[in-house]
Amino acid sequence: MGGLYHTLNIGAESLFASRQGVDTAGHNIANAQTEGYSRQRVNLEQRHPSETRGVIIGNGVFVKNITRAHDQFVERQINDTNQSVGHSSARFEGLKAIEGIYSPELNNTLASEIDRFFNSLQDLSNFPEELTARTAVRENAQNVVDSFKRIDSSLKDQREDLNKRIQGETEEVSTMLQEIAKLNVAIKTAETSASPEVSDLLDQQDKILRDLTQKIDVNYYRGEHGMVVVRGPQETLLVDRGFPARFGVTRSLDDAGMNKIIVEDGSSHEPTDITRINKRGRLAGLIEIRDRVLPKLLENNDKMAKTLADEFNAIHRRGYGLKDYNESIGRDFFDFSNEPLNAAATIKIGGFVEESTDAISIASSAHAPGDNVFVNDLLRLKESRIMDGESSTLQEFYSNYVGVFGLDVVRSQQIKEADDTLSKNLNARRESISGVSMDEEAMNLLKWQANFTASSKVITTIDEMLETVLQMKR
Amino acid sequence: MRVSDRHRYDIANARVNQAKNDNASMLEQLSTQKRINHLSDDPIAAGMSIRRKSQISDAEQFLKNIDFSKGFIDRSEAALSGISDYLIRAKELSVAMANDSYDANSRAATGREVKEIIDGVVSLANSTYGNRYIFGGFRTLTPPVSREGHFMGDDGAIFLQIDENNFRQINLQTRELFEPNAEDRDKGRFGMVSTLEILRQSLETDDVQGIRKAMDELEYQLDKTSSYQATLGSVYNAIEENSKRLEHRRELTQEDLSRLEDADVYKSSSDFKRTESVLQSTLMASNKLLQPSLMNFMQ
Repeated sequence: MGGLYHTLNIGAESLFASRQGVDTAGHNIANAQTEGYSRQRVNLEQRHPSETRGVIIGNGVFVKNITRAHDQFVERQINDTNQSVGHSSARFEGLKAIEGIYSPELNNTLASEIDRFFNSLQDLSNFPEELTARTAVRENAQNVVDSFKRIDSSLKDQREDLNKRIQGETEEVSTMLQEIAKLNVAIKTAETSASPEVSDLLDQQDKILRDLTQKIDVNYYRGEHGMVVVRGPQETLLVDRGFPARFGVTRSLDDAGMNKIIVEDGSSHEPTDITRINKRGRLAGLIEIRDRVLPKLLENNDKMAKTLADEFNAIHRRGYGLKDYNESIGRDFFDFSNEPLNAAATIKIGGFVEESTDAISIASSAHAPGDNVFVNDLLRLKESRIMDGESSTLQEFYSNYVGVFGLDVVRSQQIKEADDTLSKNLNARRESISGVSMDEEAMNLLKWQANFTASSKVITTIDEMLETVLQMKR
Repeated sequence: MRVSDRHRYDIANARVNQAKNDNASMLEQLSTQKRINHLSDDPIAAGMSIRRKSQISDAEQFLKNIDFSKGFIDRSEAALSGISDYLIRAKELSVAMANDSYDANSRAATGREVKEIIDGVVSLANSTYGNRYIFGGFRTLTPPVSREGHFMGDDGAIFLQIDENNFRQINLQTRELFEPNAEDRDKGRFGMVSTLEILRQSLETDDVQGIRKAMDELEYQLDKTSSYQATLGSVYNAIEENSKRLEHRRELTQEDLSRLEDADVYKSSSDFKRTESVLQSTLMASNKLLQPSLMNFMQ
């Protein structure tokens, strides 16, 4: 049987444990709104009993450790979903930005400019000798040219913008890798045999990992001393103990100087180019739009510009003009560079026509100001299937490719919403495990407070008993 | 299931956000009166509306072409009927003057009237619409018929588009109206002005034989003129018919387009009201939801 001091000690430890309970409840309440925080709980344990004079007596309580409420399987699912969420939301945001270029709200879409251009040709057919009709044709042709260029440059701006965002995201990933490595070191240092996990540091690292999984395709596991090992696409080693890989961009020499993403992890001499290998996360979504969606749109716009200009020129070259031009043929109406994929960027009104509207050559015979034979041939272009291996007209081609793009936007929105819902559900599950409930904490406070009061009673009782013992001797 | 406080805030947040989004998109529909404000609102209808707009713009342009064509044809018709009136008058004169009861003086006086007729015919042959000569083929800026009756235009046929894949010739190729062709020349026929000239000279020289010959010739010229008039009439009717069809089609396409992209005003305003009240009640509910906690009851 222990002495009074033994009992005093039990009271003191109980007091300490209760205080720790209030402390932890306070910590939980303080972090109730902290992103990534997992609620903590105090784990108490009885001390080993001791035997005194044949009796096993309890030795009170001690705080064994403080752990976090955490489910690593939910965490893993969240991170897996995050990769899809990152991919689909980046894709959706990128497409949504491009959508504006083809917005039906715009009255001056390419389609309506082409309509107006052909209408002005109709007027020219009515009044081939009129200066005003000719000027209108040239002005409207200029608008068509501007529309091609507007689309071309808007798309290229978007591409440049995406390129910058890719660089920004890459830098963020690089910072995250460094943070994770730093936390690895901190976790290893703080770890003791009594409390193998350091909740607050793990919370912070898990939060960064959740952000990281949104960005790129990674997988990770906790290795020795609770340190995390992060692997990227194609088994690149992104974080190994305290060492982050170098993660950055370089400008490629081809592809219009677009950024490539490279990883240097020290395992190979050459940096690994993961631009095309990475299939998940925000970076993959952005790269997909930059390298696949935008080039296709640019190509279609270019195809239209080139076909319109080519077909138009072929007819125009055969015609005679007015006045100074009424005896000569062979003039182009549109000029453009013949390099591949450069027509929309370089298309402009031909030099002769730019100089004088008399050079608009639509007469089938010389000295014939009223001759509109070739205008009618030009007008037929509007309804002829000149696009895509003679399968569609200009307008059909435009509305088709814009329509297909629109469907892509709709589909990407649906995928994003589905991913969001999934991620919301998983986060709700995570919250139900790890989140802080004020009511619960309030009850914890009441509980620990009552415990504290009772423990104090133990101590005051011992105090009174000591008093009694001491008073035995006068 | 445990419900954490963060989770409650997140739910409230997501709900309010959703309600606000719905409300904003309804407001957009209501203020633009359009159902399709972004390509992704309905990509298929957006593509179709591009096509419809193009068709409407085409139809309007074709109608404009038809209006112009009608003016051109009206002008041609007026010129031809003027010419035919002159020819009839000349024929009447020739019939009367071929009669032996007139003397040389009255024939010479009539000759002067015929000279006026010749001037009139030439001036009608050189009629213009706007500032272009209507009978000159493609040579629209120079008069096609000289005072001597030579045709100086060309055989250009001016076609205008009055419908998809439908081009109509709106001018007359009048070389044969004013000049005899090879076959006629073999038969000893003359041109229109030459015929009148023969009549005038025969009248002035008191040549009854010549007057009779001119009389026959005038009959032939009149026939030719009226056959040209008939051609014009049939073109006019065809174009007129087409313009009615086009107007009808434009109406239908316009309706179609409106169905594709216009918002139903009643529906969108009631939807707006609905989403607004959803938003209001979500906000109110969130406010109530976030209040109570055991903390409030602890003293």
